[in-house]
Amino acid sequence: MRRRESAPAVAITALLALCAAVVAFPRLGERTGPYGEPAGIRTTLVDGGDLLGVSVTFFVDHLSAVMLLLAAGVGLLVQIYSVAYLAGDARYRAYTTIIQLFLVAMATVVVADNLWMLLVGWEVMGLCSYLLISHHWELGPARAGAVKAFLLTRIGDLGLLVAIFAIGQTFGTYEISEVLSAMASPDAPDGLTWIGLLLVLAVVGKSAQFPLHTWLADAMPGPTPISALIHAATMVAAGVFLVARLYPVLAASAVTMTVLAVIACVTMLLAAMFALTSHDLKRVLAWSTVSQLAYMFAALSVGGYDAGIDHLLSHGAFKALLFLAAGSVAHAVGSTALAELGGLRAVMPWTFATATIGFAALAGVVPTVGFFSKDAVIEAAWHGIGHDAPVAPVVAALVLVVGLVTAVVTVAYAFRTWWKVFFAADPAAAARLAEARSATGRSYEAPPLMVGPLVVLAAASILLSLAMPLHPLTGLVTTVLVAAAGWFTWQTMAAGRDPADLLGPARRAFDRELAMDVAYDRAGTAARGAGDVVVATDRDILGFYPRATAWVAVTLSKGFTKAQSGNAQTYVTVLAVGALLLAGLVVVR
Amino acid sequence: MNPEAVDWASVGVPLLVAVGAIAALLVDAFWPGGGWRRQGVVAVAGLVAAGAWLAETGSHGPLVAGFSWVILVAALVVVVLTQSLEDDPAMPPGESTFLLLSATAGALTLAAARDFVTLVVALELLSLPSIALVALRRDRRESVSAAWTFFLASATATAVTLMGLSLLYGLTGTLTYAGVNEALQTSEAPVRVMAAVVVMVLVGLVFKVGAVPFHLWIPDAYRGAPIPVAAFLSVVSKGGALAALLVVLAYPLLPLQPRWDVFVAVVAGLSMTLGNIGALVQREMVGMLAWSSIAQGGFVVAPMVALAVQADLVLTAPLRYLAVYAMANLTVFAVAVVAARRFGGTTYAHLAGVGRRDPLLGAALVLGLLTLAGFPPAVIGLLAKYLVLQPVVVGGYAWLAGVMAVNVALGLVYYLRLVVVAYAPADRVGNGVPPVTSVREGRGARLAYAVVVVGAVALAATSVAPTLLLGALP
Repeated sequence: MRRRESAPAVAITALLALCAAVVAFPRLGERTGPYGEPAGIRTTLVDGGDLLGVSVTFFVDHLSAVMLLLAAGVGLLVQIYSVAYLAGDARYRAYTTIIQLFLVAMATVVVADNLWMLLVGWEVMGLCSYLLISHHWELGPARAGAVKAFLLTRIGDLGLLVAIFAIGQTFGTYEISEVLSAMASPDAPDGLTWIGLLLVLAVVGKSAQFPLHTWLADAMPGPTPISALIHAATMVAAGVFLVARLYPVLAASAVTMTVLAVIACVTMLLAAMFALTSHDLKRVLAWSTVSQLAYMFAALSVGGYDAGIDHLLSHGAFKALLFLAAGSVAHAVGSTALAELGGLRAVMPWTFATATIGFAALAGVVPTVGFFSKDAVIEAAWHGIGHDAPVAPVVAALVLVVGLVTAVVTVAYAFRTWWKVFFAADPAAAARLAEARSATGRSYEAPPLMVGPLVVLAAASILLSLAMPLHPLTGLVTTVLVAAAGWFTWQTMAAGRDPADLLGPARRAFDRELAMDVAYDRAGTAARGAGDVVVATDRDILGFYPRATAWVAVTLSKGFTKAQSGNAQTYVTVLAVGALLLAGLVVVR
Repeated sequence: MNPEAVDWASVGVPLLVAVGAIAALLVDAFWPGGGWRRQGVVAVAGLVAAGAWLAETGSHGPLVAGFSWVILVAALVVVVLTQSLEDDPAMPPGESTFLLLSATAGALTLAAARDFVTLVVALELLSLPSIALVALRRDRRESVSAAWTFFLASATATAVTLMGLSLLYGLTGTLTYAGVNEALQTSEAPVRVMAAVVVMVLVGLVFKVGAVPFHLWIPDAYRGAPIPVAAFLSVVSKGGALAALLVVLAYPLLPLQPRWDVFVAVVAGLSMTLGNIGALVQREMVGMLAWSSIAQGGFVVAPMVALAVQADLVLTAPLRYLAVYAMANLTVFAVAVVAARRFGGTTYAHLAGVGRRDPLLGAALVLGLLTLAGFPPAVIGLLAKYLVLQPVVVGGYAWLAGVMAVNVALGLVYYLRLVVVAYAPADRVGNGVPPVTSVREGRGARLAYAVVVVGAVALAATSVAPTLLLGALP
């Protein structure tokens, strides 16, 4: 552990977190709500005025405050955790700097009032994600995953860019608070469907929703703390944040909300299935992130604004916990493949205890925060059937059914993963572990700097429940479902079978994650062919003109330099002839 | 003439500078041995007094005052830069300072003139000391030769202007701006004749601006003169001529705008294009700046085509552009002064990797060059380009706007090349000639370095908050 390098990194991150807390805490009570006038505080740092047209302005309310605290808190814990996790890594300094850049970018996104500022933060986050996924750039999968993440999120970013232009055209302003005021006033503009759909495209890319969902799982070669910070708790949640921030603009169109609801339903169930069949701990967690993000979008689409944000917060806590626990496992065993894990309960008691809380929260078991926030989502869907939700009752009903089914699948894969990692009856794996342990003579449990963040996040995963609403009836229904699914999965596992096998022949299709990547690859090959033609055209035909122009310019330039002969007669002649020609030009005209 | 008829508000500024010039000469004659330091103090005192007078009276309204401020501040910077000549035995401090201040007084008078006789006198007051400054280093053949061509070309240009003025007097019967303006509106004379006369009148001013086809003296003079004098020619001399050109076109000659607009547009377009093309192959900093100053002159002249629009944005665009150009150009010239002292020359081979050897110097150079190119992060340069492009578009000269756009791109080539050079390893520039390092520190170099720092800070500050500069100007 290199204290000289790690101490400043942690100190700077702590300072950032402190700043975020100072900004965020006073605003926690100022709810703009889904449709209200913008509450919170608006500050202008640089007023661009008419000269520039873009101002640097901030808008901080309840939503920004929650996001700020989540990002800063998880960011700080991840930075502390990384001191031990990446001890001895050659690129530790670059890594910590990019985390800090990422935190600043995330803060920019959540406190920006000007949409262009938001876009800058949004893009910088994408860049940081790219850089951190490819941290181990000597590994092929890391490079490929980074490029894939970058390209697929770019598709969404394009949507955001066009959406910002469209918002500027429609509302005559790029300030979010002014857009919200306009939406809250009686004469709100209509015809917002296209803006809404563009924004949905933006969040589908950023939050890895169907059909751009494949990048998140492939982002897992990045260091595990990064998966916790960026690919679970914050950046991918920025999509949810954007929907919540511009909620009135999206909710104004039933088409937009229906599209969002359908995307969320498809993603939710599909990703849960992928998680169920996956063979890698981190991949399970990645797919469960996609699935849980879809829960948030589902809640927002049926009008459950608070439920969506609550689930965002709770998911941020327990998913960061799970990823850090996975990192602890990877640190000890050197692998995250489920087949190589097992029986870690005894040798890693702290990791086991905290990860159990995390898995319980993911599954929605009673006292954890996941139970409350997931119930809120289900409740919002139930509520949306009967009351005037932004979508038709039948869509809300679809969300309700898919949400409940996904909850059951979630219990199954959470239990399956937990069991395979910490219990595992496989004697061969246990023998291997014991052998390795006696050979190195070191403990399996993670060092204190890694266990500390785990304990903090585990505590948060339970204590945050106090801030969540309770819906007794839905809670009862889901508890029964969870208990039944848990019992059933346990029975299956105890009988020595993998619950994923219950899918029967469909399992093989899910194993390949429905071969969507094959389709993307084909599209990529076709695009590359087209690109080669364009490049050749550019080089051999269009490129001729610039090259010829450059040649002419340089030749002329040399000529002019030669003309500087120092001969006074030449100079005066040029001057006189020039004057004569210009006078002639003016006269003739 | 009775004393009440003298317009002290506008005469006072150049007069105080002229008094400073004479004081410098007298101090040198009767109290010799003070060297550059004492001359610098006298010169700064004269310029500061003129500045105080200008702040108090405000000259002829905000536009002339704005030009006067740019000229005064630029002259002050040049005076500081001349301190680096202290160990150059060929440059006599007394005469140099005297000539510098005389020429500055000429530039100020040029901006404040209200009749054509004063204009010609001021033109000569600016030209002759400038020529003498270039010729002052008598031991160098190229200096003498440059001064000689400069003188002959200048005399020719002034002769053409004088001939035009005599014809103008014949046509209108007056030489005051107000009288000419009135006479041109009511005159019975054929408009084509008057247009030819106007062009002849303008030749002298355009010559001082250094616009194509009256530009041939510039590269020779810049290279022949000491670097601070080149800085003077590129900012103070050019600034005075531009002020006079703007006032003359906007006021007495405005009625003939439909005739002379093509003259201005062609001169502006040619200057930008030829200046930029000429700069492309330069591999020496001062030579590059000489050609680039021809191109930049074209950018300042361009918005004047649209003066008939009669809007503030047309009238103030040249001044704003000039102010930004002066800041950036003086910073880059100061870098050249420092480089000449520290590295023994200003060729690109000498400058290779300057940003690595001295990060602050490199940053200032890059900031100055990017401002001249109008390339972010030097936002102020970008804004300046926008400010001169806007009137051209508003005035309906789309083709000229197109030429300007192409030239912005053309300028990037050689400005960015020097940026690259500033951070390149030494062995990758030029023919691999290793940089000569002759560290000659001293008071002059330190002062020049201070100018570099101040210039860099000013450029950075105005890039962050452009209203600092643009808000202060009219």
